[in-house]
Amino acid sequence: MSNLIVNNLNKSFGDNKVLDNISFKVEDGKFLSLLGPSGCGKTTILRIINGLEYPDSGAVLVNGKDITKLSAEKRNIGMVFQNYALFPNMTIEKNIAYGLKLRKKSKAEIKEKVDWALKLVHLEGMEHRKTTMMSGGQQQRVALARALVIEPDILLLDEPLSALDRKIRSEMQYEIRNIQQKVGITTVFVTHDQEEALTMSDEIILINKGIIEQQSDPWNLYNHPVSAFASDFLGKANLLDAELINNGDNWLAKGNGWVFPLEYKSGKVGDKLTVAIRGEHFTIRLEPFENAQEFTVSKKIFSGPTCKIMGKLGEDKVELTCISLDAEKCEIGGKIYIMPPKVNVLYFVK
Amino acid sequence: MPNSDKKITRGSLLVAPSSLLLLCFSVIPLFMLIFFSFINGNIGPDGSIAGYTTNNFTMIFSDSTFTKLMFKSLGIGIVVTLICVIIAYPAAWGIAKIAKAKNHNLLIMLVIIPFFTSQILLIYSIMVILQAKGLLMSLLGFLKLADPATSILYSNVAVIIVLIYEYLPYMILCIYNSIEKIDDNLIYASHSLGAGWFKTFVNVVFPMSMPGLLSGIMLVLVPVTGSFVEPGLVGGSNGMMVGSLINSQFSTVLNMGYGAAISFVFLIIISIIMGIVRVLMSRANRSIGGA
Amino acid sequence: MSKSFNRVIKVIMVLTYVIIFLPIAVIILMSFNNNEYGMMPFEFSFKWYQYLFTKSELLPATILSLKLAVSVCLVTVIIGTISALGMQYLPRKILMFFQPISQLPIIIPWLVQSIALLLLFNFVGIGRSYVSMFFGNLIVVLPYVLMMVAGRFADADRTPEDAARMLGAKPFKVFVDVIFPMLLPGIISGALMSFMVCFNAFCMQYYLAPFGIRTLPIEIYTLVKVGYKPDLNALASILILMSTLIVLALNKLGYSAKKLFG
Repeated sequence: MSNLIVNNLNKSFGDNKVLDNISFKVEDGKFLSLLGPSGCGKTTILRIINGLEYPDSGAVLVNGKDITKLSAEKRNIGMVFQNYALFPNMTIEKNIAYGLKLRKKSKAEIKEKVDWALKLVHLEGMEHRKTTMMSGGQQQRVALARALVIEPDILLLDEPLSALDRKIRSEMQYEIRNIQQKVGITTVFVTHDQEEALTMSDEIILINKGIIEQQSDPWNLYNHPVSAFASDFLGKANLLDAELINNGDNWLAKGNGWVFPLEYKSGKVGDKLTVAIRGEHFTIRLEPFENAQEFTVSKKIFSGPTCKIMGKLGEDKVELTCISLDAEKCEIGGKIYIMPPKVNVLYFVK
Repeated sequence: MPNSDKKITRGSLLVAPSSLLLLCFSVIPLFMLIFFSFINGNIGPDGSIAGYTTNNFTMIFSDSTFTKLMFKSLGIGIVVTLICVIIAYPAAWGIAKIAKAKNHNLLIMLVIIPFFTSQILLIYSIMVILQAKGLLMSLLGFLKLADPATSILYSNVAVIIVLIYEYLPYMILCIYNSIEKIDDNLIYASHSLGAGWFKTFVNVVFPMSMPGLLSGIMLVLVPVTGSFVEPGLVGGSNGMMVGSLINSQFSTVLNMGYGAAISFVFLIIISIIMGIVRVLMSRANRSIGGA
Repeated sequence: MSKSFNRVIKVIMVLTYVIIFLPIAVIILMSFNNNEYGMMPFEFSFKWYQYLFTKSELLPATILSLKLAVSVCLVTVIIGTISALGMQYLPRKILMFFQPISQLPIIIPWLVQSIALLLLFNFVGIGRSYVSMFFGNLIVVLPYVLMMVAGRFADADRTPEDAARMLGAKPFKVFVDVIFPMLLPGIISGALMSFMVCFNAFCMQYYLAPFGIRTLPIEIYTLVKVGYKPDLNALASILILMSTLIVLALNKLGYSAKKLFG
């Protein structure tokens, strides 16, 4: 199998710079997600890797071989599209066999490989169906089989799940990951859905406005975001303005009517900060406790096992997440006391 | 970027044959028309020209024939369009909102069939109905309303009837396309707020169907105003329209210079009408939030 | 809306259909009437159909019109499809200029268009001829083919083309395996449309056909001017049947296109 190296990609459309010096490496057999809001440039990266777009500068290497200037049909890269992109005039079998036919394989070999691919995506016995007679999930399986059957060096997935409904989407998340691991193929997955990226990936690259914000494994990306954008994009944090202060023993963040102690990383007294605290990281009690701040409840939103509590911390609007049983005790208009553990008070000097 | 240059070259090469045809047989002929409106009399079979003059245009406006026929043709155009609109609205409404959804396709297909049938045959078929001792006159005779041996054929009324018959399907299709897009809930909402069918029509249906109505007007008014076959076949001696005048310059009178000049003036008048309808159309589209 | 209102609308709708189809129905009925002037009493007979296919002067005109329509249709479909393909490579700026011109022949009243062409052909010394008639008819159907084929490009999902390239298909293979099947319903619809329009284009043929040569629309026009001909009813019935079949085919294509490519 293969590794993929992307070196210093730059790309502009007119005056609009969509990629700014993008570099990363995907190890053999790993599953990498490019995660970011729409328009961040992640799809452009994918189109440069697969040859449908050329970079202004920079290089794409597969197994050390530079393929940057190779046209798309010569690259041997498998691709699954958001809208499946099946050939509507061909049956399932013909769709899957198409790439093999272009490679002039023998009939017996084509048959064997198509059967293998159909089995891989659990569509045995459907080879003679029309594409339009299949559900979205099934069509995406066909697209996956069609991409894998040519034994590509790299598999690219361009938001393959976004057109599916919720339940099938989560099924397909596990399925794609299983198949990827079974085949052991190096994969680049593009998505704007943080949950999808966290569930499926070995490694995630968070992209914003054409720049890599952070590259990390899912666990560290979620728990140790390196920027306000990263902490907000993954799991929606409360972003609060504050000032870094020191009371002699401890470093603290002093906000608009609240103070929380934090674990010192960098900065000096008086620095303006953006503080990021996730809703689920607050300790919530009905009575005051050490270092806790007063919080006025204005709204409760029930969503099954968890509940969102919205209200005011000093002058700032803050959203808490807690299990529904706890939320029951809070009254709208009433006061509660909240405090995040030091390690969960993330701050970024402005 | 060399890549896009190559694309443009390839595209231009592929579009070239069509462009050449359009240039030779549509654009150049129009300039020919303008050019020929300044020649004296006829063109010889070898392309020879007797001389150049502006008389053709002075003739158009000094003689009242053209002006009279132009106004008459526009009048017939407006009457035919109006009657088509009046008949087409309920029919289009019925197809779009009352008929069962699975029948829409069939009903629309039936309306399209006359589209694909020869115009002359359609005229012929209605002539058979209208002729003396034909179906209509026999019926009127039976009801003692008219003498079955007479006929309304060969009159302006006959021209109008034939034109309505020919162009009604266009109007139904255009209005149907617009009405079909109106969300049923809008109509229910209007009713639930206490509006009767008339108020609902005036306040909801009519404005929403405006784009279709206007494209229908475009498809009916323009060709009807310029028709010459219908007046020739069923208009009789008093049934001339401006199209007949143009036609006669090329088939009987053979004064091509004058004919070209009339065609040119006619084309300008028609273009002005089309321009106005187009402006109204884009305005109507914008007002209902369309493209 | 109230039930009585719906009923009124329904009645008007049915009446409208009756108005549209009564003349056609009468023609078809009379084509089977033995009685020469289409009068009562009605006696069923195939007499006029027999006459049509053996002795009628309508037959040569019909064959000429078929030849004209088929040749114009073939040439237009090929040129139109190639151009619609080319339009995909052109930037918006050029298309903004090309598209209105491509629709010019159906925007201008056909009377003016045919006269302008007659003047052109007279000027270059060809005058009325088969060549003039061929190009005159071609130019008024070309916009339909361009519109229908380019329309398929606009409506269709283009990503299968990228998918085919990713699987290793060179541009020509992409065209044969993906683009052409995607265009096919548009091409067939354009062909049917241009055949039918050309077959019926009276105005163009009236001005451009060589002297003394009658295409079917001209022949019918002359007959109608002169008077009533019972074998015309038989021919009209056949032609109406033909247009009905073409409309059915178009509808079927649209339907199956939806099924195939939705």
